[in-house]
Amino acid sequence: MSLEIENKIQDNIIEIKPIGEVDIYTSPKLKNKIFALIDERNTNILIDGEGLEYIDSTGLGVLMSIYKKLQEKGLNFTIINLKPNIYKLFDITGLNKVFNIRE
Amino acid sequence: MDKVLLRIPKKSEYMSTIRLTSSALSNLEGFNIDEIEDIKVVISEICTFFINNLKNNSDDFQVNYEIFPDKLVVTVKDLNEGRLSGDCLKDNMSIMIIESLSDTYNYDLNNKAITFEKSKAGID
Repeated sequence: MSLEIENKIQDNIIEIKPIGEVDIYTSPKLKNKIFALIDERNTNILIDGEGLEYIDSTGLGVLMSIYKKLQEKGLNFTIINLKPNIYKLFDITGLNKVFNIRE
Repeated sequence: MDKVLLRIPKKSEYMSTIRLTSSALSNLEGFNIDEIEDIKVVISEICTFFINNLKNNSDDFQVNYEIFPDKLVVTVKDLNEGRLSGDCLKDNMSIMIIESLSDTYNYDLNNKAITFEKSKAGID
């Protein structure tokens, strides 16, 4: 399974929906897409994990770099709708305590 | 005990193939969905660890599955030339995940091989 990325641009937030797998092969695509949107719009980011089937440590690293970039700009980063098997990896790595994750 | 050997290029585009193969084998052997997910994640993280820490990639990964009635033992070996130092195990997100989701694990850095075991639910 590859990775598709949908995005919805609203007034003060961009909603990103990764569909498929974010791993060492596909994570650069996610990083480039979101970094470009941040540079272009300079606004808050919300990741909707409803269609996310898999994420590895590389993908978690990409989320961390997005979080840091937004923090530098004083912008918010929120993650919603993670499946339990995906949330488990945030828990193991402690990133559930770093990110704002909501159901 | 059945043995399955997968030899596959050390390239990131093959990671999904490794995960699919691992899921299919685990499913065949009666692991539950959570266990299959753990096995898939651990194998993928081992390969990611080697890709990130041993830059040579002209040779392959060799994934050795040993299927016992009560457990699966998997060894991933990076067949490329090069050295891995013990430092690469420290503060590494792949290692955190491997150690959390495996029942037992062993790092043979001299031979560039990582082995882990996963038992079926309800079996000690």
